[in-house]
Amino acid sequence: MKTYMITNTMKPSLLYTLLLATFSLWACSPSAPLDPYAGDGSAYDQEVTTRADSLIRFYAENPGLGQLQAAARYHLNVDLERANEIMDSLAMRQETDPSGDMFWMYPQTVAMFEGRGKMPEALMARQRNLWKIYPPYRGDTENHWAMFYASMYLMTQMYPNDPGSEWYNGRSSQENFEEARDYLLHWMDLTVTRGQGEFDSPGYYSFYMAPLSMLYGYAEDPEMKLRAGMMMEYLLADFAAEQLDGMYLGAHSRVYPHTVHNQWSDNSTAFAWLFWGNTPSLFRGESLITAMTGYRPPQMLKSIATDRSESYVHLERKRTRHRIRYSDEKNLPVYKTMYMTPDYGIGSMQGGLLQPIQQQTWDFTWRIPDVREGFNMIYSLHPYSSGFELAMYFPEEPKLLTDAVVKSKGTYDSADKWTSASPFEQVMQHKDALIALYDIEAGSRFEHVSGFFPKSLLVREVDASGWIFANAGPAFLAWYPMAPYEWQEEEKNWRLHSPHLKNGAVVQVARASDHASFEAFKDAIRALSITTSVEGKPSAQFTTLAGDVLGFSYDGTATVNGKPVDYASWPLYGGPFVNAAVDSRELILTYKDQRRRLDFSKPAVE
Amino acid sequence: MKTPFILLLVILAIPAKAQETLYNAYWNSKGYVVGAKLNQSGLHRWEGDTTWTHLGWNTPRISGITIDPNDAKRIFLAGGNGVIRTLDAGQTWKVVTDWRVTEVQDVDMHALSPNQVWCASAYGIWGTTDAGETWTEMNNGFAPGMMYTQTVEADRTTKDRVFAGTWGGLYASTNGGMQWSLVAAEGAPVLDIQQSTALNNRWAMGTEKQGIWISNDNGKSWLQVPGPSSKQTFYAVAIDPHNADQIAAAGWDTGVWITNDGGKRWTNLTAGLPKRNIYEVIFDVNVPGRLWVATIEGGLFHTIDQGKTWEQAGLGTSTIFDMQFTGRK
Repeated sequence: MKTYMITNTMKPSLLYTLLLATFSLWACSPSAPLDPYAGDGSAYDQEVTTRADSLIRFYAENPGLGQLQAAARYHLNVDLERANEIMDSLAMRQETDPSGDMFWMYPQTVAMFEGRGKMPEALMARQRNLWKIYPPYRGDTENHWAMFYASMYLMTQMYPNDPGSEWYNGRSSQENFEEARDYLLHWMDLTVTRGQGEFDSPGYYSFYMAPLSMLYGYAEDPEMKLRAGMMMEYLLADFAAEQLDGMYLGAHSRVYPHTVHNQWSDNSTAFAWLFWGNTPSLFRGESLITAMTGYRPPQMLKSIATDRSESYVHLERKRTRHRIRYSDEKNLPVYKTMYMTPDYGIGSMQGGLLQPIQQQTWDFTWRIPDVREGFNMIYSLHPYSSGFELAMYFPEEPKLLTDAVVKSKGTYDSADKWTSASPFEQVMQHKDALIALYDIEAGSRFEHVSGFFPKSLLVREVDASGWIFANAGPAFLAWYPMAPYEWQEEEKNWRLHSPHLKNGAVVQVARASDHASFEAFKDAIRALSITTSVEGKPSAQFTTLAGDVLGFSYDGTATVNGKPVDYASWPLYGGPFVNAAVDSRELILTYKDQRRRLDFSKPAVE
Repeated sequence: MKTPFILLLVILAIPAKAQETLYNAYWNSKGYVVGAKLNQSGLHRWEGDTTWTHLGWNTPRISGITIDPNDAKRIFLAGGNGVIRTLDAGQTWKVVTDWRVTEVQDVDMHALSPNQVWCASAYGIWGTTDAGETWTEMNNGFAPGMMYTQTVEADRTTKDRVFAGTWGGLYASTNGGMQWSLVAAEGAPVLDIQQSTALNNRWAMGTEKQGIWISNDNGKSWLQVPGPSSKQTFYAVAIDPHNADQIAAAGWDTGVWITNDGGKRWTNLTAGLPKRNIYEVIFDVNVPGRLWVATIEGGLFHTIDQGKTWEQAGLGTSTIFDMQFTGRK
């Protein structure tokens, strides 16, 4: 952190190099704690520093009335008068008209840590008092708890000896600290053994990076600091392998309607820009927090994130959010597949009710010249809503839940929604081909399947063979609909609307450069063997462009060349860059001749 | 002349029965999502008419209340942040559970041993024998995948006997929750359980889509109330503390059902109420025959004449999760 602060104000120079060398020698001495995430003065370090600096300056110069605007000023030690004004004004608001829960807690924590020694004592005391008088709700999601407990951990670290009467929940500093530490370690362990429940969410990604950044930046316990840094690397590695130009591709546990068709605009992109610079700048308050800590991930993550010279398969295993009703298992495994190429990525999970409300089960996204324009993806879904789905994951009464959710997630009960988990959707994927099957129960809230086709496609045509062909520029798609459908025009896309309960799609995608022309691609697809059925259980058998034979029937076994897909040995991570076995508590990163191992059981970075 | 004078002396010599206090827990933010501004919600004390005094935290999720029958200053609340306790009538509060105990739906204290408290949560039952200082997870015996527990009710007559309303039926324990056995309504979510204070052997419970159930042998056997209510969802049941034959039940699209003969004949009292969706009902401890009915976001009402007339007690935009009187013995 100190090194980072020096680089904020100094150009690289001989003096700087000497200082850095001195620091490095000190840092490597046997008695000094080794921080694998401290800056090392490399060109990569400098590059990140430049971007981090611009991000911090942006917030420090921002006139907005937010805790993070104040925090950035404290961090740079500039315009402290304005920072104090902001904190004074926000304290007054929170004293009289409080709100925010953990969304107030985490930036408040950051502002107080950055403001230490800079905020007037009386103002700091006033900020402290807010933790006594305002009772934040702990929330009901994984990200809520990460923010809640990271904040409680750090605030009770800052005020370690206060009795319960000084905290809103009546618990002493020690009780709160120990509880927060216990939960944070539990969450970290669950994540590195069974995966996240709220996984690969482009929007909520930042709400894990923020609390982890806070722990990395402010925790006094070197082990907690190291664990937090390792968890940040873990999440960054997860993202690196599944993103293209900053866009978080494939299947998502949660994605919002306003970003599902413009993946670049979601929060996770801000971290791609900060650490890899492979996408136009996107500033987020949570990435500001990361920037202020001086955290530096290994450069090989940038290589993993940006090297798209070769196509690869990347597997991930996650888990469902905690199921509290209608399930014998608390956390079902989620099997994810991503096929990434230089021009596109296609990714999926197996379907079903894996995460309520905002699930995206599969997605095909291609590169576009300006990633900020979005509308460069194709996928299908069954729009589903029910008290059954919600009660599986939320404690309220099933009959009350749909109305309650619609109040905050307005599209949840909409027939036209573009994100949805459905118990009547099953998906298999093998490399660049995918089969999505639907067996919708009669009487379900909505009895149709939707397919998203953006108007930005160069060509979208229906072939006499039954295939739908799409030319996206650098990538082609062939979609074989298994039931009749119609096209419905919407503002920026065409909707494939198929009002049939037994349904499905066979999808083959390809790089444009692998074919002489779009016509040649179409000819190649027409020549492939395909058999589908919607009698009884929907099923499909399809020979891919690569010659693999995929077989899949609803509620049946998925096969590749006659062999069942081996879900039992599905790794936590598996691919050319990121690997981890279930329950291993380790993560192995590989890039060319570089290898890096995170051992969470110790913890240690090797 | 002497007789009236003596009578007056006798009346004055009899201590007036203390009025018990009515508490409720409600949520008053229709559009609330985590992080948003929260209108005044949580525990409230009734001051008469439509006046309620807020106590403790402003929090969206207080789902259950239990009050020490012998010391009304000791109150435990079931909350989203865990179990919250006051030992001084709400002057100070403390969350007495940690992160393991979450999404707590109900809480109940044993009348014979008030340091023994159980809470029902989305992940099953937790219990304490030291008034909340330490908690133990108690899910032995529940059916797999059916640990979601909406309600818990201790048998006030028998030490260590307690009932749990799980998503898979009604369970009972005779050893303080260490082991549970299925008693009734297998496979049916049990949403509320109440034991009569006037007749200890009488119990009632409400279920999801399986109507109302009554026990007349202290919870050993249960019978489902037949008729039109048997397929309905009942969030709440109540037994009049002044007359154990008078039982009320209400839930989703049910209005209020009431019986005056211990469950043989039932009448629906919906007329006059603005909504048929009701989350909580309770009979008044102070006023015999008065029934309180909390509609879902439609206000709180009470009737003294079995629904012929209703008087509003405010809270028109709230969902009331629980109501409790002090002195429930």
